[in-house]
Amino acid sequence: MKNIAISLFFALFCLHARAQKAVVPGYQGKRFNVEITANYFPALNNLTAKHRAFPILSDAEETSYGAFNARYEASLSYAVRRRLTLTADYGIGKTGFENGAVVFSDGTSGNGFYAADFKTLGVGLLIHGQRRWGLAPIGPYWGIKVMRTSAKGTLKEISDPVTGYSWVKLSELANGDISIGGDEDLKDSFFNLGVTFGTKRVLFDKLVLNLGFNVNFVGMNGLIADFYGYEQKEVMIASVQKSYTANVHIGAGYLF
Amino acid sequence: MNIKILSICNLSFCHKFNLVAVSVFLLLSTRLFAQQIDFFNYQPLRSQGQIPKEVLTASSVKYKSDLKKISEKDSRNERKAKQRFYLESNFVIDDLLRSGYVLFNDPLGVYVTAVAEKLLEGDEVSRKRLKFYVMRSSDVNAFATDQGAILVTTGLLSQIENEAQLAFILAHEIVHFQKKHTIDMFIEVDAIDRGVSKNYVLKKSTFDKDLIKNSYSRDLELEADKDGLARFVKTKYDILSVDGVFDVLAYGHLPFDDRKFAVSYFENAYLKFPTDYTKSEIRAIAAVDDDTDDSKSTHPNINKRRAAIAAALASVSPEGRSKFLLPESRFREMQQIARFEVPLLSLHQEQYYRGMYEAWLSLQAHPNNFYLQKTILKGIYTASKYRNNGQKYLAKVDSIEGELQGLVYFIEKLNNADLNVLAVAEAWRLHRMDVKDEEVAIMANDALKELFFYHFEDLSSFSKEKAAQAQPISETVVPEENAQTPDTKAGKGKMEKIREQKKAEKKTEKSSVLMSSALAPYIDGDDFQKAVQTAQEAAKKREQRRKHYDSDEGKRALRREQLVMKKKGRRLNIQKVVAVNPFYINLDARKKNAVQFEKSEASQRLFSDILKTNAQKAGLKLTVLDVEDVKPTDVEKFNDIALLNQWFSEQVNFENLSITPGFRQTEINAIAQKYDTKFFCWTGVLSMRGRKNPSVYLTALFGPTVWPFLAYYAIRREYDCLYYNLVYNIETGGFDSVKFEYFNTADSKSLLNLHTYDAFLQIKSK
Repeated sequence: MKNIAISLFFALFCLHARAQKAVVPGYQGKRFNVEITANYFPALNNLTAKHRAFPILSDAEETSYGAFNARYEASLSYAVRRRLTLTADYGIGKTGFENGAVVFSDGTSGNGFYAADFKTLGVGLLIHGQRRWGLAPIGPYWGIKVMRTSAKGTLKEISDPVTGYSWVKLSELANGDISIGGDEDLKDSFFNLGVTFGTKRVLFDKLVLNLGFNVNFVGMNGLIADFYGYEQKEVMIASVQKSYTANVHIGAGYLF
Repeated sequence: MNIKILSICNLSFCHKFNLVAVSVFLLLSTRLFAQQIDFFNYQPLRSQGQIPKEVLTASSVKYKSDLKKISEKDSRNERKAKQRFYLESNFVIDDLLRSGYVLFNDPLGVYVTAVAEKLLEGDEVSRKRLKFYVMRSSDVNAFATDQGAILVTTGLLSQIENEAQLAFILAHEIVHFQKKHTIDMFIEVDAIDRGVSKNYVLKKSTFDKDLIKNSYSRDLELEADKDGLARFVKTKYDILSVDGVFDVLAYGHLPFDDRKFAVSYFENAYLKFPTDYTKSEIRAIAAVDDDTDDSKSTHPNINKRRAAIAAALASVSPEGRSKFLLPESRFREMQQIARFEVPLLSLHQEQYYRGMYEAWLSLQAHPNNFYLQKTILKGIYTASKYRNNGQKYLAKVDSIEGELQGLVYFIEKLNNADLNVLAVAEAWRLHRMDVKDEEVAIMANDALKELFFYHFEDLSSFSKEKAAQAQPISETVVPEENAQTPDTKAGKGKMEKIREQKKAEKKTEKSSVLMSSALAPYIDGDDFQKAVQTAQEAAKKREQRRKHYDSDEGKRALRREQLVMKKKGRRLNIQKVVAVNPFYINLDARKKNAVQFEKSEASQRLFSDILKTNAQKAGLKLTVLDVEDVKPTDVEKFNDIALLNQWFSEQVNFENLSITPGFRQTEINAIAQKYDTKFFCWTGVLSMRGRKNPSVYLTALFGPTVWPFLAYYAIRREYDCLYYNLVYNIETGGFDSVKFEYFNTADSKSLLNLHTYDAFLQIKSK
């Protein structure tokens, strides 16, 4: 990750040196933009922890950061050409549900806890539509982004022994209860792809307001707990690979 | 470039001018300075001395001041109508006064004021309130504004026969001002439109309303005639001259004189035109029906006006009166000036034949006058450029009345090649007369380039020997080998005939034996030969370029160039630019009166600041020439802006002809030197708040899926914004459209900053 970050900044430096020769207006010559962006609800296909870790759960009390797509990003963007902005960003996100009651899809209940932290490092290209008045780095844009996500998850599941579901990994405890899954640390690193649309407006010739909508295609195979049976895990992976998040974003930035 | 759009300056002006038409009365209806006018080296009129303060005062300030005149006793609707009148009239009239078409302290204006003073003797109040100006226009017109400006066009001054006629016209306009006819008419029109006029039994149709409005206007005109005559009669002006005013007005669409045009003007020792180049039968000037139905006119017909005048004058003795109260020589001199002004203005207004003919008419009184001959040359040169560019004719011979038809007939009889040869011959004749004249030199060289690009490869057709053998064109139009009997022609197929016809036409274009003698006087000159060589090379390059861009490879290269330009901008490598009168107009299509005058004025100021700030940031040296910044003592700057705007408007009219030289090019070149750059930009913004289309909401019937989009449509404000920035090399007429963009968004400050900086960066970058 560190190497990727260093490479990105080096690439930006080189591009800047090269772009000096081109006629890239920026906003009154300002071509850099640092920005904090929040990806929020309302969102479509809002992936939550219960879907991610326990697809057969019908309900679980989500934590305040329950949805995976509630993410925050800090980004640095740079106008490399008249209509093109290159962005590099670092994002964080969390998902999980409370340590408490969960309801299975057959109506029975149990106890459960799940938490996962995500860190993403991504690069993207934003293309500003001159016909829609924008010129990098301001105005309407659409873009693509490639992210490398590192995720760390913790899973803990305790349930009534009578449940006896076949998908849980069983182990008998000393007191006669049966732990299903126990604590499990999950780790994963994966690439994911996003597309984004939006518009950036300037306030007071320096501040940037970024509003838009984005769709991220996400895969988190590694965050699927081992306690699923092999066949079910395959099904889960297939499901996860097709999943996406879609949400609105709002950001505030500074031009320089 | 799609410069047509760019006629946004002109469009806006026209729009505004329409409003002027509502708020002023048009009358279809001058002691010069002591110094002698040098007519031989004539210089077109310019404003002099101090620019009147009221012209430079912000329109919004005047408007606010005028609002105090509205009485609380007026009805609500009347108050609203007056408010709108003061708004529109202040802004529109100021626009006109600042346009540069209106002159200040010029010899004609001084003369008109002197005549007006005769009328205003003993009326100190009116003397203080009224200002008399001359407007540069070939139209025959005069009008008064509610603010007290009375404007008379140079076209009118060129046509009136004596001082008494001018005095009557001024008296008529003074009444319009004194009786407040402009605001009266505005309020009445408003009342008629709303169906609440007290003066008429109102009918509902628009047609009926228009008739009633015209009728009201005619009443006011008759009142202005009657009261104006009363003022006129108090002076010692000749009352018999008044009748002639109506003839001047009725025939104002014709040139100021009607004399048989002599084609010998274009002849030289080698070139003689055969008799069939002179039109034997000229279409007589059609008599205007003095008793025409005037129900659709804002002015009474001439018979009615004459009758009213005659009745009023019945008891007035013509004895002891004179056509001239000021020395007649002053009138004659004023008239000469007006007649020197009008031809160039006609050319400027794209009336090329009329401009040439009027210059030729003045030339009869001033033989060998260089200025007038140059004006004729400009006409010939421009006509030739148009014709080379594919425009078949500039006027239909049969539609012309009077002796002007002779000139039109002559030019239209020449084919494109011959007309081009004539332009070269004329240009070189004048160039030999004054080699220092820049405009003539440019035309001489450019006409030669056109000749070699469009018609000839070399000068072999123009040797003196050929000239000696010259036969009248009429005998050589169809070359021998193409002459066919009807029988042989009948035996050929349709396409074959068409192809042969085309071939014959093409040959005819190039086989003008008569015109081969036109260049004989110049052909041996070293300067001419040198110019020919340069022109041939330029034409060759131009032809190569044309072929290149016509080829597949060229088209690909052009696409690549356009792509690179789109990605990297124009990169003009210009370090210093002058922005002329930045233009800004805010419109609101949702309102009946779409122009947002006050907002436009404020936006224009802001836009000027945006230009300056962004030029500084982009490292571009920028001077903004804005009438808003002109001080009363800064008449030179005012003249520069006026001249540049007129030059620009002419360039826009010429579209892609790249006519050089432009309007008063020598003066334009001097301006380029003064500002130390030949690059001038015209930039502006047109922003319009649009209407929503109610039928869009019907799509709600398609179900909830479309409702969010409709909700967005409902809350979204509709805006259209056009931003342009054109950079001209004012010495050559070449231009680059750095920005010509339409945005579907509001004209926010950040949007303007973004694109202004981009435009300036493109201008400056290598």
